[in-house]
Amino acid sequence: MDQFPVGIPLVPGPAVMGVAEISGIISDALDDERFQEIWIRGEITSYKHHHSGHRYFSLSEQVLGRNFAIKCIMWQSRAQCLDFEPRDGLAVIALGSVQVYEARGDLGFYIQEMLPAGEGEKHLLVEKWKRELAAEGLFADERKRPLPLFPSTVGVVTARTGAVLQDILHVIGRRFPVEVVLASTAVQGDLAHLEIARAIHILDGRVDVIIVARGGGSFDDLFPFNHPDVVRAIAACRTPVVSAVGHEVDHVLCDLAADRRAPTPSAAAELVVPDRAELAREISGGLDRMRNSLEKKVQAAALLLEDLRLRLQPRRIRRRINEEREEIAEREESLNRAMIARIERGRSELARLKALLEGRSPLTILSRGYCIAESDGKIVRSARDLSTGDRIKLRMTGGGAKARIEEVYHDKEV
Amino acid sequence: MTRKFEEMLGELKEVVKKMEDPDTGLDESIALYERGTALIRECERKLAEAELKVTEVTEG
Repeated sequence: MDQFPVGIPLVPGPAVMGVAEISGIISDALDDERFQEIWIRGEITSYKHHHSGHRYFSLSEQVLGRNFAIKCIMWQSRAQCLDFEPRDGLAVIALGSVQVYEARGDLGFYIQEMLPAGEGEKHLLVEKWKRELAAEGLFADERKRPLPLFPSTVGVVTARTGAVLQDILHVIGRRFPVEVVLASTAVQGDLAHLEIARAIHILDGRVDVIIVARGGGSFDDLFPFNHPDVVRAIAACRTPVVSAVGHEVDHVLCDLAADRRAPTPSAAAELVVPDRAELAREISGGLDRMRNSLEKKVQAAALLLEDLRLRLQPRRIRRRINEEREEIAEREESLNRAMIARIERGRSELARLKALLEGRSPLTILSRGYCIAESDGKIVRSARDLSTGDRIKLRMTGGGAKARIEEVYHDKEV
Repeated sequence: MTRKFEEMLGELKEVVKKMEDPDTGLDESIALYERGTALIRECERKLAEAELKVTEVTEG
């Protein structure tokens, strides 16, 4: 083999990789959901709390007499969030990812979160319940109902003894005293979830709104309020439910199923009843507003009335009468004028007729130098009417004369 | 009490709103005012009468 330079095989054979290459392949292989963000349960062994704050240890398990272990690393930034002090022999569950430290080829479990096994498993259980109940739609926003504005009765599900009930009664008594119906229950312990669910069921339909309450406590203390029995009882409840479990920072699954979550039992009491004093102020504000608007309307009506009164004054009526009178006088005047004109027309017509008449009068003829001869009372119209010796009367302008016919002569007949 | 109280408060709000409407006549406003003050008296009486009462149930 000495005759061949290292790393340059001359004959075909199996491929040879560099260390970096195989490290890369291992890294790639570990980049798989089976190794990333997984929970591992085990017993702590070889625990070292480095002065830098990082924690180095193994998680171990014995199965059928065989020992299994995996190296674990928990950086200081993660370890400072631990709320217990890990020690050898302690059973824990840990969330992390399996990675290879390429500089040394060490395979390690890099831990983000770690809990003592019993409590930790409960956390995991809650997470599982949460996913399942959410999938059932029990936490959906569209399920949330509004709380009644003015409940007559408030149901309370909590312990009979203890500060929680007293806090709630105090707040309700101060804001708007109503009937409070208590369904007392254990609020911690292995069977508490059954009692809580039953208490909710008892109150459903008997009251206008229900408060499910508990004071602050550890995760374990609050655990029954995560139980699916309680969550389902709240979701099934026809009466609106306010959840007030623990303190502001505590979150339990029954909060998610309730119609409202209150940070504390006192806050829940404030949510369910209005403030009587505030209502009284609002009501008397209504009275003020009614009075103001009535006053405004009365003033407006008075103004209108005054205006109408002015417009109805006698002076105005007299003026109106005078106007009427003037119009009558005007009409009378024009009637008179028309009458006079008519009379004048009649008069001139008469004069014309008179003149016409006078033109026809025999006396008119006389004035032109003619005279009328009468014989025996008859007008002489022809020479033939006369004989010599007839006595006739002559009429002429200015009088008449008696005459005797001396001779009669006739015109030649034509 | 209080479904009735809620209704009365709702009616009172309507009355006030109607009275503040410039189109509402004086006669109607006077009638509304009478109705409104009666509602207010009744609401205030109910508020004053409200009393804390605590009972406990154990049976389903």
